[in-house]
Amino acid sequence: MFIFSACSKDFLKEKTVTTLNQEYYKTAAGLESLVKGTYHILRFKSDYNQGHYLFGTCTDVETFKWSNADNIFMGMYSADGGILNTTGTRMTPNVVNLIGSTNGGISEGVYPTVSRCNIFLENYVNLDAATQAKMAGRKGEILFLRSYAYNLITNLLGDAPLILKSYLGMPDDFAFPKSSMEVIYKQIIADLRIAIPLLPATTTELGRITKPAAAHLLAKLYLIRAQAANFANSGETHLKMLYKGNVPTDLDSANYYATMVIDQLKGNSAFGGLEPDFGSLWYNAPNDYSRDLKKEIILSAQYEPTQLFDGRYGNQLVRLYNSSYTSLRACTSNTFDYGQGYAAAGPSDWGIDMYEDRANDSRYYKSFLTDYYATDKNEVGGKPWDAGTAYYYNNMLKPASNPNVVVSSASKIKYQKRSIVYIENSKDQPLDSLWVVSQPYILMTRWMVGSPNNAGYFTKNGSTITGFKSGAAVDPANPIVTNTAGRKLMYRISGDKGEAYGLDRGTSVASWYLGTRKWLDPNRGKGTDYSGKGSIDIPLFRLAETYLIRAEVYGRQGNFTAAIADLNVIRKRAAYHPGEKRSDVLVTLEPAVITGKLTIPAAEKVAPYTVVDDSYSKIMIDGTEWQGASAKAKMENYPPTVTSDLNRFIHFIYNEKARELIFEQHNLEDLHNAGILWERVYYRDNMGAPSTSNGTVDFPFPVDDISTGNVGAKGKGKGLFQKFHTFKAWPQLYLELLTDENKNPLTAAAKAAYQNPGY
Amino acid sequence: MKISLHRSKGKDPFDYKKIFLMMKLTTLLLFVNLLQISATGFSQTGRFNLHLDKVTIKEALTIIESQSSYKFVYRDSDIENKVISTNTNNSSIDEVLQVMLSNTGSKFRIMANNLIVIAPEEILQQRKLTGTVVDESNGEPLIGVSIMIQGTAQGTVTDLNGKFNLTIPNNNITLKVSYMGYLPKIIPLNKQTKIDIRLTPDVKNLEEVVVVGYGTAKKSDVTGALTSISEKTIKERPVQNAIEAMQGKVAGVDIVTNVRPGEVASVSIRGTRSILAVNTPLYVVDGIILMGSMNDVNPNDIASMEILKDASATAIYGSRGANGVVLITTKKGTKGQLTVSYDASLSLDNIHSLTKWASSGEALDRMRLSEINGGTYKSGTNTYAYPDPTADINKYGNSDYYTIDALRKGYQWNDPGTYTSVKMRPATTQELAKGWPAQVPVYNSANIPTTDWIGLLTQTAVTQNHLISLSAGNETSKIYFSFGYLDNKGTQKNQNFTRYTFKLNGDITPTKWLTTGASINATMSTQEFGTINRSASSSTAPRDYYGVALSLYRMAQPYDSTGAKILYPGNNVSAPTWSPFINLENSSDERRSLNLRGNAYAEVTITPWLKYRMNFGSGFRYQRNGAWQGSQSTLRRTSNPQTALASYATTENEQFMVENLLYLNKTFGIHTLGATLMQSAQYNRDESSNITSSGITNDAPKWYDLAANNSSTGPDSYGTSFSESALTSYMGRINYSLSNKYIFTATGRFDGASVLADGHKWDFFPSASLAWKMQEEKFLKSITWINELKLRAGYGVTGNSAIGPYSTMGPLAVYKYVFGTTSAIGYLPYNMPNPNLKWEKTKQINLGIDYVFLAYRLKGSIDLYESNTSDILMNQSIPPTKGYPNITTNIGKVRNRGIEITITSVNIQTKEFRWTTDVNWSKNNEEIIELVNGKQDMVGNSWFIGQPLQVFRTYQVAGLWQNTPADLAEIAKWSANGYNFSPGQYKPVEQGTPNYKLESNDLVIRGTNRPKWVGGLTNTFNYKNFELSAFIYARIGQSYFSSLTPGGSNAGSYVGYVRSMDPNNFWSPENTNARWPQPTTNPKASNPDINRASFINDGSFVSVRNIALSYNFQPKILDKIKLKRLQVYCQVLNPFLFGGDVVKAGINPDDTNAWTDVNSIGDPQGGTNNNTMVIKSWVFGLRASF
Repeated sequence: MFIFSACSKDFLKEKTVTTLNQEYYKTAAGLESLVKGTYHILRFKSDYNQGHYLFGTCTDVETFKWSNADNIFMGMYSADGGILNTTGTRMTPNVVNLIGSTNGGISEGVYPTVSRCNIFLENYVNLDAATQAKMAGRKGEILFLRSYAYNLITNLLGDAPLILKSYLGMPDDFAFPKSSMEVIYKQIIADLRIAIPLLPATTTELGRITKPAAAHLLAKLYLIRAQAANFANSGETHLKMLYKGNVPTDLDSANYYATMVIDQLKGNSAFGGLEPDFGSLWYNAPNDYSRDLKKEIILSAQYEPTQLFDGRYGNQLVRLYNSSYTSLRACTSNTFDYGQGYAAAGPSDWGIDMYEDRANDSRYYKSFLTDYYATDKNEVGGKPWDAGTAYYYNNMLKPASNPNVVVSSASKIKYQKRSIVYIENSKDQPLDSLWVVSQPYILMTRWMVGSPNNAGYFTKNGSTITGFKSGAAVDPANPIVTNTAGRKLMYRISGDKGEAYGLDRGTSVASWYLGTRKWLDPNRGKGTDYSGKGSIDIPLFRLAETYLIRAEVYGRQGNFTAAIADLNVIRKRAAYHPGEKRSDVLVTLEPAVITGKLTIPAAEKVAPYTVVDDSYSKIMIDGTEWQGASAKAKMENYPPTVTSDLNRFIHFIYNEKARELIFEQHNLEDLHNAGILWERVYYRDNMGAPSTSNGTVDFPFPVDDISTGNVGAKGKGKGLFQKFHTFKAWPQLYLELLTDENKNPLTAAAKAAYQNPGY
Repeated sequence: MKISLHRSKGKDPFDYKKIFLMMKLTTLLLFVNLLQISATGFSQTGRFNLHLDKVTIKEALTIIESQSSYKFVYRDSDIENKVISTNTNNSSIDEVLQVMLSNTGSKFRIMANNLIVIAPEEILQQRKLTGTVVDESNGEPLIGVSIMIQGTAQGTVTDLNGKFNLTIPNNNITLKVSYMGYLPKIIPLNKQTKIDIRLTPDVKNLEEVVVVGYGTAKKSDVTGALTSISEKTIKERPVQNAIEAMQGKVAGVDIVTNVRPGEVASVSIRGTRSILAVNTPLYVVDGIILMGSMNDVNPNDIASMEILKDASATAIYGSRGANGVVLITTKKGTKGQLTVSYDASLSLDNIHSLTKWASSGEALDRMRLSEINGGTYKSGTNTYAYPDPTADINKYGNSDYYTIDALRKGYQWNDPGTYTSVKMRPATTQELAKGWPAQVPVYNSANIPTTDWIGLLTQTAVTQNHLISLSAGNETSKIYFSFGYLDNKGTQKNQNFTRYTFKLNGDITPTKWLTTGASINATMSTQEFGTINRSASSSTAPRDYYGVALSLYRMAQPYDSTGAKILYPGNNVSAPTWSPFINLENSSDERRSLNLRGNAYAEVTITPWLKYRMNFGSGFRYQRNGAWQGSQSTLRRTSNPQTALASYATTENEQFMVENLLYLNKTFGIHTLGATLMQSAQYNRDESSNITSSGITNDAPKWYDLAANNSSTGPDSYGTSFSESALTSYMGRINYSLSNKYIFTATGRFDGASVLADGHKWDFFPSASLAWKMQEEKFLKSITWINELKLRAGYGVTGNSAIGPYSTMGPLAVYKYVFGTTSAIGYLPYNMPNPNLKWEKTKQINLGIDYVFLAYRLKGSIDLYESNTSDILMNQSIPPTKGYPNITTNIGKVRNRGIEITITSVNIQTKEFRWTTDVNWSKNNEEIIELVNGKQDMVGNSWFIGQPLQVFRTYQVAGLWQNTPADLAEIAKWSANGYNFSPGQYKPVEQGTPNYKLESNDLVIRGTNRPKWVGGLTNTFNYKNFELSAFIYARIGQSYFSSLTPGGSNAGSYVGYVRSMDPNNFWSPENTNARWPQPTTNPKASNPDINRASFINDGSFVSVRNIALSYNFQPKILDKIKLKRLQVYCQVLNPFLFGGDVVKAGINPDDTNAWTDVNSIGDPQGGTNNNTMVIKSWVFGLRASF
């Protein structure tokens, strides 16, 4: 048989057995599968590192935490970053992935997505009318996905090729001139307007594009275009580049579509459709996925617990923002109580300080993971008790009810007891260092002070401690030192080894920081692999953001009253509601609460710290937040360049967006589109700002008494962020691949013209 | 008178005549021979008076029989029907018969029991001769030696044991003994019946017949570049597969070692040319393309290997020949009596560390110095400049009891056990000058204990290799059978490889015009790959247990004081660093494979000059990989509940091949013309399945009960796959020889491959070559020292289509999305379809000389070649704007140029002593000529025009920064741009005008892993029956990417394995001329990219691969113990390694274990975890046959 068939012509014909090819897209089933696969782009931000590199860091509230070098540094944004140096790999390879790359047997990124959408649209028109009608919703989804993809790439790279057809076979040339964002925005806004009527108001398939999702994106696009409408004549290149056209009706259009979303969803709860408890957006118990179903979530990137349908890396976001708490060794790494210690990104100081009233704005404790309990039965880790700390603990801190004294050399860590606490106190409320290191857990503080005159706390007989020095001023009930004269102020000294952590201090200590609760996933790795992929969905659009979009629109239209109303929807939900419990760390350890700088009703300061009165009234917005030099305005830390009420209002909106959406990978794009990224990094991000910046008057960059050389808290910016970093660089590799229409590689001048300014 | 024939009755129990008459003549004669001695003497007894008149001889004999006790045996035809008359008195029987037979031409002989044989003289004179033929140089029996009686057509050949039997006439004759590759011998015989013949190897062995594609050729007539490897070379040292045996033995073949049991070394012939398609040569076993691994062929079954290197030789394999062809001929049965052979070797393998590792104390001192220099040696906020137990425990104690205990041992204590009061001593003047306090702790790093993790995780491996073979054959049929067993225990405790091979082949020649044959090969192997089960998958993470050992902490203890295993030695819970013993017991990665190859052929001789042959080959390979992480393995024990994870994957490959061949060969006067025509078709089919499940509740079944999982959703992943491909070809070859001086060969082959795009599936691969046997020319015949001199020139085109099936059609990839919990399976476009994909082609020109000089004592060859590969199959990156980041396309050109020299010389040759040297040397220059868009470098892939395919491109460094005003000023300029350097750290060099920024134009190509040259040198000394040989292999001029920095000179709180190094070799303000940067933890002291620039070093090495001693027992002794042959040997493998900086730093550059890895952006990744050792072995073996 074989011998004869060998002679026939068919012998060399390739027959596909398991492999489908593009002919499949001529069928409705093929197009259905194409749409499903195209949802891939919604996972772009949560599928591995590219999300936090490109979208989740380098703002005023989020910084890298990979190593001690967590600043914005030389080469990070360089066009050939990947080739140039290892440290540069943080940005450029991820821009490559954004444009399009092949990973794990699938091409991903914006242009492969655009190509899929184009293939769909080209094949859709060839379907018979009945099938077309049946699949009209799918066309709406595809138009949404293409717009979403173009929104991503224009947010990072500005003008970009606008590709509206698909290609097959080796092309003649690689000429891809850029289209202006004005052209691109016209296209994607028009696409979404076509899509919205095609899409259903609701769906039974969680994660499918719906009308509110498309309307939310469209409102955002209108707002983005409006934000840059006046930049056309800006003297600043980085602002001028943001221009996308000047359409006078944009704010109204944004308002219309935001309202469309809000009106459809606001009835879902007493909080304007928002989930009543901010914390429940981020909380799920083992084998519980109710957080994915919260009606506040308009659209989310879908993941599921079996991990069979999670793509290449699956949900990696669940690890990126976790502090590497395990390296403090007070918790084993194999716990599901907390996330995998990964330490890729975390908050800047301002990202923490922006919660002005953390006693009453519940988002602080519901967003941050302030304390940990020991998960290791072996009770190892942490610096053991020594003579001094044991003496202080036994004599001053130990509750009378606890008869057990601690002994030198014994481990502090007790299984299932508190093992690590982060206190982000302010410089004017430093903690006594002996009090800090004598806690029966590891206490990580932002500010503490050493012993008076650096002379030590104890009197000794030989090596035996006999008591406290007379000037030691030991007061365990009030560890906040008000008079720091003669005492050394220390910024970020860990309560473990007594060494500095973070802020460029030294190796392997940057990874300790206040992590987030938002992405804790007890079901990750199918509940068995603590370093496994996440199973939770990642919200892309939340109704809270829609309110904030509309609030900005109202404000820009001069209607502050309406803006305040929308903002207070957010605030009303952000407050502590009766019956909720505050954290004991907040009530008992937070210096601002201990000193009364932040107030909690006395009745609520008793364990278990149950809230009696709704705290909304304490955090309600009244408009003074953006008025001149009001006390509230001072707390908002406006960059000194911001002078008008409207501009303060806009900054306030983004302060509030950051408070609401931190670590949800919106901030960078938002600040960028609003044209305020540079000044916010310059004045508010110690790690990103260049050394010419000292911060602002009210929130200066930290200076302490122990930092030497260029290391540590020196009161100057530690980064190299510049205006032109507003846009990322087109990767050199991409430019090298381009040709002109005559197949010639681009000349140096042509490449420079293609490249974004400054690179 | 007529007398009837009768015999005396009753006296003789046997009717001899009848019996004899029934026998064939040959048998009769043998019998006669046996009786010869006992027959003497009877001729003197008895006297006859015989008076006969006109009777026939036959009647006369009958009368004698009746009157005496003599009996006669004869054939009627020998007596003739002659009538005689005789009249004798008192004559002896001799006299009577002499007269009677005087005119008949027959003679007689009197045997025992008065039996008299009458026959022609030549028959009566025959007798039997037995003997053995051995190689004079080593005493090994020679098989198939021709032994002829001179001047006759009578003769025989030796059997598998070198023995022969020959019936010879009784008179003095001369034997002519001849054997290919040995000098012929003329031996005059006297009366002996037994003879031992020793043949001298003939260095003039160009008459050797070698295997070429689709046939054989006399080596002297070969026109292309090929190298033969003999069975002897393959057996020179014990190897797991034949590829290892080739290393260093063939000029132009570069082989890099893989020490993992069951793995195959990588081979490249004359450089690398393909980027996407494979670069491995084509292996052809007995004419059939090998499917599967070279591990499926037992090297002990190989009779010879021919490596075809240039395109004029390989073009006959067309599309498959671009990377060279290795033709393997396996053993076959030989004519002669049954021979059973047994080969066995036992090898004791040990890991030998090339690196001198620092003790805990030494490493700790270096790390502490880094902390002190970096200002980070602290406890609390106190900084120390001298060893202090509090700071030590704070920095390095890691809350680990044993580590803290070890640290305390470095100090002396006033209160041992409590350790609150350390003994102090006054600081010296120098120490005080450094700012130390007046009293410092008494410290001695030598007292800190060190754990030998390498010793705990490695072992002396015992490797056994056995082969039993059986060979038999007669005029019409031959058979060979072998059974092999290899048991390779790994030097690392979790690696091993076991292999059974079975081979059976036979040929039958039922008629003169037909020969058929078939062979069956079966190979079964089990490999324990040696998983290390660590989640770290980076290329610098440990890849085996040796690497794991190197990642452990030297002050940590494996067991606690109760003898229980410590889960985290050194207490690195967060990394985490697990006890390495856990996974030894709780994980497995077992790979079983079964390879079956069945081949058959038929050869029909149509006319003496025309032959038809059909080959049928089939192959089947089944592989099963089972991986298991037990519930207690490090990756699983953290899950709750603790369950196992296992996977089971199978692959099945099938291959069928049919070839129809027509051979023509005819000589017309001085013209000899040969032609070969071939049609072939090949079909491959692959399928696989895999399933992985976690949550398996039972450890016992490993991967055999994947359903026993506690998951409601079933297995974690599963899948099946299928692919098939076909290749069909037509080939023609013409050989023409003129006057046996000028030889011309031309081939052409059409190949069609299914994997290529429609319209590009077929292509033509031509070649032509010419040889001039100059020694046949008159003008050279007079030069006596030239024995042979042949010039060769060849040109050929070969192709390569080895890309995955379905590459051209725009296949869709599955992407699994999900809506809620409802799966949403997407099919997405993946690679851009390329309807123009075609063959990758290599054109090669080869010029060569084969020479034999000085009475065959010096011979060898020199080859020069240039190959140009174009239309290289490449995954081209294209602007993803089209929607696809890649397209598989034909692009670019690579050129390889080189020279290969081989020399074999007999340096000393005496009767008992012989010294031979074999040298091969080759140099290949690989160069990219063209890439995408012609002359554009592909930086992202690290491909540069004018460079080899793999280069190391980094920044350049110029020593260390010094603490001079000039250097400090420079450092300040760098600092302004955000770069931080400091004295004692590497100093970068900028290319062009310095701008104090490290940019892509500052990167330079610093080297390549391609060697400048590769050489092998074998010296063999024979003395009597002893042989001593040593093989040296050298790979020179390649760069090796690896940090030679001794390690431990920057941060870290764990004391691991670092190299031992004199502290004076590190920079310090007082010691500015040092080789290595100042140890410091200051993270801003230098730039990782600059440090990596120091990783490119000279990786040249010279390795003494083996030294072997063997002894062949002499036939005298062998006869006594009833053996045909016995050789014993012992050898040492890898005894010495010499080399440049890399070797001096304790690294084995022959281990390429992933050190050429580059990351996604082309940066070399390095990888130095198990290249710090070699495996040294002691081998003992014997080879016997009986």
